Amino acid sequence: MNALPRFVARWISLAFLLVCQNGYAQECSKEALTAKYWQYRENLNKHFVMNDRKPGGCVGNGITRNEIDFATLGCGTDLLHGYGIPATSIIMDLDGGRTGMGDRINEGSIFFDKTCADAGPSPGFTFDHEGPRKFNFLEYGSETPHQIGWYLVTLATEYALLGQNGQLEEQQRTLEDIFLALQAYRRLDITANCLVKDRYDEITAGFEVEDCDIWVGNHHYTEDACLCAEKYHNDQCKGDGVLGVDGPDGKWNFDIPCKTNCPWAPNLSGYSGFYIREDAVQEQEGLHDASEDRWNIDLVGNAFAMSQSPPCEPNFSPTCYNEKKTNFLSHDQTFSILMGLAMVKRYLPPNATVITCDGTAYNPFNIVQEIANGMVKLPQNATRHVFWPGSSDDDCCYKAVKFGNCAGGNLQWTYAGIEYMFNYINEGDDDHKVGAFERLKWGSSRGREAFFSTAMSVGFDLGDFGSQIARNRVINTIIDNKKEIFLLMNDLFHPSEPNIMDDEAREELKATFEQMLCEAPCEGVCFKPVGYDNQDASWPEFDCANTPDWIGQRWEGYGYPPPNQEAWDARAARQYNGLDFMALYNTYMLNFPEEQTPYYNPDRPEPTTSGHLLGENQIEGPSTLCPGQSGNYKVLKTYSYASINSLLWSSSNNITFSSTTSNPTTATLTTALTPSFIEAKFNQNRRADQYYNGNVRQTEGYYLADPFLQYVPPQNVTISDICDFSYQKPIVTETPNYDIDLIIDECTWNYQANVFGSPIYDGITFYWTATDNLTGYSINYNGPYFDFFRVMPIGLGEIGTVTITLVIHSSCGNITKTVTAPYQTCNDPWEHRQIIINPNPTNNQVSIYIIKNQSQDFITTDPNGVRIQIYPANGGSTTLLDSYLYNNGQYFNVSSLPNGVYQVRASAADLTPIQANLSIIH
Amino acid sequence: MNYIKFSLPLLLILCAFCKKDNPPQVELILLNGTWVQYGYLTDDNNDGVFTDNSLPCQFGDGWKFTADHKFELRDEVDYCDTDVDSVSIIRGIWELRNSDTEIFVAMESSFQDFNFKIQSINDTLMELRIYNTPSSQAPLEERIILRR
Repeated sequence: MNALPRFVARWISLAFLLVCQNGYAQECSKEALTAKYWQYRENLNKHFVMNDRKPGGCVGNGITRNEIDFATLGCGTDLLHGYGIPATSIIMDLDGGRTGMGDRINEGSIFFDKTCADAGPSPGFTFDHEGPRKFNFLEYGSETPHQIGWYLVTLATEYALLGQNGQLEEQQRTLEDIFLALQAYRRLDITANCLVKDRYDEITAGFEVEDCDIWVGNHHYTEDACLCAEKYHNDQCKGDGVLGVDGPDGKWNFDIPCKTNCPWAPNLSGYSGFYIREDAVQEQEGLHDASEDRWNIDLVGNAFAMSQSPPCEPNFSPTCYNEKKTNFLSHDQTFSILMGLAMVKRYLPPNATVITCDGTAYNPFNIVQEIANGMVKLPQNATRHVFWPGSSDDDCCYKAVKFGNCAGGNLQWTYAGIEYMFNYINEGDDDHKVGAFERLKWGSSRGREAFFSTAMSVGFDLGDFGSQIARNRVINTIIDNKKEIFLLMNDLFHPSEPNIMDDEAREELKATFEQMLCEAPCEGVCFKPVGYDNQDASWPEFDCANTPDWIGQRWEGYGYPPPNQEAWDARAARQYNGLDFMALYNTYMLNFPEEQTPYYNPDRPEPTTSGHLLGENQIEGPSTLCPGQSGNYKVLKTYSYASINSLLWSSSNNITFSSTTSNPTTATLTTALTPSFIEAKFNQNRRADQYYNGNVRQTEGYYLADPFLQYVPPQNVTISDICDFSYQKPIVTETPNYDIDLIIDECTWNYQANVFGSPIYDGITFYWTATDNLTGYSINYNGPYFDFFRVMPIGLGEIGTVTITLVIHSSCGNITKTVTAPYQTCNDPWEHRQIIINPNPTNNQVSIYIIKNQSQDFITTDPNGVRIQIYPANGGSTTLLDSYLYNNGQYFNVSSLPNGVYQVRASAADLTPIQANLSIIH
Repeated sequence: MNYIKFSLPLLLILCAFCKKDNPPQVELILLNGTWVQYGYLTDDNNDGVFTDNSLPCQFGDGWKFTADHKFELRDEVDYCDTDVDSVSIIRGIWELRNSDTEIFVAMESSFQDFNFKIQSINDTLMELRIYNTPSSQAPLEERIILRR
């Protein structure tokens, strides 16, 4: 506990206080958490992200509507605006189709355009002004790049977990989602460049060229066109001299005079680093889902959509309107995107490839590095500012147009953070050694703790960062800014020991994160303000628990107490995309593999490497059914006080049910098939305590008339929270056909036989016999791994054969396998080589030694070193670790391996393979 | 023996001078007025060739070490951070370390510390060096030239 920073302790104690208040958290199971993750994932895909995935399942390029040669891409190309980027939330509204239009529907605004109201959403979707109006709008906005960052974190970690669970097709699908998100960023970059070009063209065409009245240097401009007219002066940069992190200036710099016929050419690579925050259009209203009020959207409400036609007529400069609405980049958004890129870099192999529908191959890893390259270069100028592209060229403007502090364009104090993250993503690129003056400013970036938390977590192994005091400074900053997830992410970015927390603190953090995950509502992160239910009854039916920590954008610092109570209270009712929960779930599972369950998309399950399925122990019944046999199966409750609803049984196609909806049911096996399974899809309606302002709501206490004056104390107000489950149970329908894997190394006295070829299911037993054919001596053993060295003759250089017999037994019958192997016992056992693993068992890392003659170091002459591979001890073919040993005692991190027994094999040009067993016990 | 008789007192006298004069001397020189930044050189390619990598706004920046161990780096030219009206100032605390061969600076907000090695110092010129600090994320030798 000594090493535990005080803020960690404070945070943990607060979290446990919350947990104690909420009963259902106590019943949270690993399976329920995994089911919750996939419930969130489904909602994200259905309601918040529109992807460029064609009906056949293949993906487009995510940038253009029609597949094109990118060399021909121009600003007139039909771009797939809004695809691949997650909306932040759905804002509940009585009339979202209007409210979401903002100033376009406000008669007092100079941007009012009544055609907007009439135009409504894009064609094909209902917008009924006369009928009941309970329609919400989808929120994209200035926070969208944060969401892109968390989306990438979620997808990259999902990619890793799917791979660990043998879900290779689904993993490729997740890779495609990553690709589409990366392409979406590139489209934002391309679109921003085209908007810049559009404005220069407007100036040339004389559109909105109100005269500037501004001094630039010694010249007073009164006739040239301003880059943007005064009506586009944005709210971020009021120039009112208010002190704060934005400095006393806060000046809006777009009133700089610019010239006609500017020769600037847009960068259409998607890698310029200059981007807009979102480019959603009304096409994303295709995410409309009328099945529940909370998902029912009738408008995409955002700056880009409102600058486009439809829904409105273009009666202004779309470029300047987007500038007014702060839809161009800021450095805090860039930080979040880089964070997401870093996680993709962490888990994607460099050669991962996506093939689009037209057969074009893309390398997402390279795209990640190129995007980061653009971002680090954009402010790489003398003053570390973002400038309006082309404006520093004398041919375009009379003075460079700067995105100042107020617009998030001054990177004086934060540029080192960009470089730190770039250097992680583009490892080995030494062009951005972070110099003393960048570091001095970065080290003094008071008021910019969120930047600091993000970049330090990506760029440095905080477990090995400076002194304990320095480390605690960073940890405290992370926690103070409610970015605790970085404590997990840092250990993923930098997996080598030591971890950011010592073991004791890490265990406490683990418990706290687990409780956070348990507390998260199944139906998604949401916020409902006080008084929502007192409004017009026509408002959408919407309830929300306001669960502390899960009221939206948790890793942007929200959660109780909120960063700004007043602003938070004024927030609208929202259903959020849940990326904060999903990112935490995946990073938690990667940090604590012992907590993992089988991880696969319940809509598209593939056979798992372990043979285990999600929730198999929640389905009570026999694990083996032979052809013609029947068994009773019953789904057990996850939440004991909540009933099981909407149950639907299904199975592999060789099993029938007496009823597909009753619990229990009887399943009958018609024919043998491997793998076979039964599945139960159902939901449980649990009650969740409702919170307002961080406190549980309670009813008033009252007295009953009968029995006379019995006092009924205040009760917690609870709301319905429907949790979806898709549990499966593997069914053995025939005796699996395993093979025998023999591993013999005479000079290490290593004689092992293992089963391999199928997962080891419950209900299967293995009977081994080993017989030395020279002496007739036999030994027996039960279990999947057979060490038969005791049957071998003990003399030197003895030659003979050994016969191994394996009887595989299930209640459906036996299969017998036999192999006979020649042997020659070692001529000189004192030369034998051995693998020494320390510690063994372990839960974290091991040091490996290769020795000979019992105590001497074995030094290989192989220039590649000794290859170290780790396999499942049951003989599975999956290589779980493949690395090289260069020096005896070298450490290998095996913390990501679940509990079990593994084979560690060593080989080199001058070392015939030897092996030893390794036990992982978490 | 005679040699020891003569050399021992001489050695003691020399040591006394070292003890008494050197540490205060460095500190006194350091404190005596503001140092003006003249150059910032790095060897980016590890080829032994140092080039000046100062941003234009860093020429003329003021480095001030005060007797109460406060440190200030003032952006005197008011160009690097043009968003603020007043000059930008980085503050911290400083102390001499390692027999007065290093200046340790801890920034006010305590995010990062710096160990500047004093390569040379006299009343008008000071050269500070930093070698391969992990926070540069890559091998990098940095030389800061200050004048007064």
